[in-house]
Amino acid sequence: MDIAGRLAVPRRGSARPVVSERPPARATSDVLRRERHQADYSILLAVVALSAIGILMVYSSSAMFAYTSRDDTLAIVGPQIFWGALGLLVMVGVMRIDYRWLRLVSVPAYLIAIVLLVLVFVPSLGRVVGGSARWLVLGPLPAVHPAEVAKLALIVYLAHWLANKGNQVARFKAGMLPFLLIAVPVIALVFKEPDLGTTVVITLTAFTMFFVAGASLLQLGAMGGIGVVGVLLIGLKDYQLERIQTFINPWADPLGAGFHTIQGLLALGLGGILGTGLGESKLAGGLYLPNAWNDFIFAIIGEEFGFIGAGLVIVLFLLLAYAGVRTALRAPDTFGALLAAGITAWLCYQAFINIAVVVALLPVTGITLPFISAGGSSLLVSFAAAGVLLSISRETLEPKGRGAKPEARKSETRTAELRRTDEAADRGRGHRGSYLPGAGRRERAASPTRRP
Amino acid sequence: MLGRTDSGRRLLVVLVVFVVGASALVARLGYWQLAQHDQLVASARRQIYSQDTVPSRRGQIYDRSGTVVLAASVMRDRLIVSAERMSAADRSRMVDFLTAQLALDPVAAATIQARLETGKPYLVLAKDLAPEQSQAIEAAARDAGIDGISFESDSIRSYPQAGGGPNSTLAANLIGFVNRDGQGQYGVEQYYQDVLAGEPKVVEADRDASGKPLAETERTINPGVPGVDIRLTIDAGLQLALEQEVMAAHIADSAKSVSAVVMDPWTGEIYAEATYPSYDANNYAAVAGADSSRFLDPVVSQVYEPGSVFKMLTVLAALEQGTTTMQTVYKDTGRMKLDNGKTLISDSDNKAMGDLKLEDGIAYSRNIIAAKVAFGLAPTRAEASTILHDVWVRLGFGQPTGIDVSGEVRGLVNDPATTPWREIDLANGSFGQGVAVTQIQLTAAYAALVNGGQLVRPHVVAGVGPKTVEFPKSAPVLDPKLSPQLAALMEHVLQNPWYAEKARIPGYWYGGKTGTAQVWDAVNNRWLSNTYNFSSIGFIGRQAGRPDLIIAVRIGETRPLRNPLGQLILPINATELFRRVATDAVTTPGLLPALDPSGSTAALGDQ
Repeated sequence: MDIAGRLAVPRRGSARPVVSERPPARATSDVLRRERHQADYSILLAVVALSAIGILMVYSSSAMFAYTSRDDTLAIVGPQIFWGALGLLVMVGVMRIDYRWLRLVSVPAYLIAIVLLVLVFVPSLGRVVGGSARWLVLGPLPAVHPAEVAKLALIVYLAHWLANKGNQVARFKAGMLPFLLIAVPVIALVFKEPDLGTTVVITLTAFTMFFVAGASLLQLGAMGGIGVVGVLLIGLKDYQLERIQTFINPWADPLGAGFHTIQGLLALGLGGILGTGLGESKLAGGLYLPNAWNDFIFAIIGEEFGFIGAGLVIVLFLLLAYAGVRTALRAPDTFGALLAAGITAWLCYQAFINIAVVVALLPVTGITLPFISAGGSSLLVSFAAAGVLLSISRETLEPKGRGAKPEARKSETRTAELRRTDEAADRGRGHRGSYLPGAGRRERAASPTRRP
Repeated sequence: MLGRTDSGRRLLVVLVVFVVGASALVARLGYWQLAQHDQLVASARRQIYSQDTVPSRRGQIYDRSGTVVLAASVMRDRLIVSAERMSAADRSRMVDFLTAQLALDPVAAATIQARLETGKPYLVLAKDLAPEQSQAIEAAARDAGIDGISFESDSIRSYPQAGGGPNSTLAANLIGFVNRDGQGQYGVEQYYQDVLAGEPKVVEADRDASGKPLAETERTINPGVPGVDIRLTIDAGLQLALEQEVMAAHIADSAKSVSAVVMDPWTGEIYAEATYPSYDANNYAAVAGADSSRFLDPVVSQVYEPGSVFKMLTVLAALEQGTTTMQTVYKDTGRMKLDNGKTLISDSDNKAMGDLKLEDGIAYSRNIIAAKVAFGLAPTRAEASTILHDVWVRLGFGQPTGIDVSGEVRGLVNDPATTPWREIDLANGSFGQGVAVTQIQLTAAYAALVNGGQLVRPHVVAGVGPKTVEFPKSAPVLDPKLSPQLAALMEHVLQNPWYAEKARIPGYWYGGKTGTAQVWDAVNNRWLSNTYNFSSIGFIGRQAGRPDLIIAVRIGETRPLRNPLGQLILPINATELFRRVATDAVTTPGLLPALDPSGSTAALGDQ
């Protein structure tokens, strides 16, 4: 029996020949085995290691400041531990849920995110910190950072929408235009806060997903050009221009604009190869390096653990990137692939931009280092995203051809076959769609638009 | 069936982007942490540690005996009071306490009361407390239970010896002073700054959360090198006498400044060197505000036209050329037209004394005869100019003597090779006009004339720490056989009836030459009317044939009277000042070498 035949299940309205028998049990079990296997533990390893380093470094860099300003060395790391623990629970929970459920909530989540981003500008709710309205205070709840929520919401919704669109994304009216209509509101609202760093991360992530989903390269190139011109026309705030000038020569104004950059570099320099040791940072503690436990925490890692430690953090993010892309490559359906790609791109872009700022490869932007920097919203949302990634990784189609068993090699051929369609995700529901898991949807008729 | 639309290839592109990005980050990280490590660490250390330099004890300065302290560094404390969180009762207790301890008058007590009421955390309420005094106050405060008093120590440069004039310290012009930054200014303090100051101790400390250095983390980065003591060639007793003499002359003659140098012609050691007006180095700030040019030592830092003292050099040139002898007769015409009648030289009294032997022509300081000797040096004016200029340069004019005090100037003698001399230039040069020299250059040159041709390097430091400073001797700059003749000529000059009475120093062998020159007013570009510099330079020795001291005096910018004979009259003229200084010097105990028992056989040989 050929592979397709083995998998063949009754298809309503399909042009292909209908095989009346149920597939053999072995085949079914094959499908079921795919359905739930172990999550990709390298993702888990990277995330847990990074957040552990984060809590350690937040404590190390904030203890002195917290002690002098609030008489409690745990004042800053305490909430971080709480949010980290909560995030871990969220991650484990999300990991056990079928990620396809997200398609149900993708539209409402997107809309809620837009509303939250707008609410930031309501004076009674938004909290302005350092010239930027980034925080939202809703009643007794802790202040949240809507841009963090918006990132994940946009990724989920884009993955959902792009998966539905299929090959049409390469077209302009059906692809590029609606894509922009989805992405630009979020980008514009975050830019308006203003939060240049997050704007850049969201933009890059959205376009990366669009690119992976099969966007026309010509259109993408044109968009890139228009985007650059647009940014120049709308203009950057003075302080953003100043940051860019400072980036070009941080030592021009060492006590003013270049202060952050220089202090970060001094911290890195002090670290050398092996670092000064945990808690031995001379630049932490808020004396010299402001935001030492936040945007510039990487500098403190570089100081206390040296080139080795800071390099390890970069390697962990690279591991996350590799595992994330691998999950996307093997995801059972387009939605899962795009979701995995989006989440991976977001976390890695944000991490690499943050690190690039510290090592003076990019101007100061003010974004956090995922899993490491202090910040509840950021940590929680990052953990949730990692949970989604893990959830996808539980259903990947693993190539098993490296063993000697001929059967396994056969299985690989089959995996390649499955890789070309969303069929595997159907899981015997019979509608060949990847729309939603679960028995409740089994009887749902496949809509004509979901046919190839 | 819905086909997969996500592109595996494009996902791989994304992965490549991440790998490239991460590699760039690692490379950049390595650049800062490995390649730039040292620079960044240095830069960070400057910022995060409080680095402080503690000056090392500055070396003391002694006179030649090594017993008289001319300059010393002492510790003085400042009394600091923190008036923060002080109640009215605390304040009145503090005022009472300080009034008792510092013996304050009511006005000072009221001032302190007012300053305490400002509530500032740092008030300097007393300065210059000796360590014993501050310790006593500290103990008393502890007993009385008074808080908020602390002390800070400062190193203060002290010049304990009073000078010869009012408001002055001994040898102030020669020694200089030390400013608040610990930098020696002028004189020996500046010239030997590195030796005296040593290297400061460098300490480093962490900062506490408010940025202040933490005393308990203090560590020494560089222990520093203590300053080295210096022993001068100056004799403190003679120096004081000399300062008194120049002050007396300054007052008597209403001069602008009077200076005198006493030097050993054989070694170049300066035994004393004084100028009036001088200043109080313990209170240099007052002088700096009033007239900072007083810090300059005119002996080394000021040039002037020497006048007739240069005639000795003209005679030397002629003796070397063999174009004259002491007995050669010249006719003094009183006036002489040069350059085809365009220029005119004359004797100072405009009188013609007729035929005179060279030694008498010099003794009576006839300009005409000096000019004739100069013209007779060689057949052509160009050669004569070159010969005379060469003598000047050989004797050190136009270049620094190398004396070890700061601020020496080189003076100026025009080179005929650059600009050919006219007749008037040669004539003027023969009696010391048209040249700019310092008193120390003249002293060194005269030493060479009488010591057998050694151009010594004048110096004021005899020893640095335990070491004796050696100054190498030069090759003779003139034929040693000429020295006795020149010394004899100088001796003859002071036997001249013009000087004989005033110059008499019975029992000693002495000689010299005087010079009088008008003062050029560089501002208005003219000669100042009736304003002169008077110089007198000579030697004195215990035994004929051996000069023990060279003495050079200068009465700068004074307005003499003129007697009916046309001579310039001063209450204390240069010859008289020379005599007084010479008398002081030879009677200074232990200064002159012991008598040579073999009598008058001297280093110079027979007269």
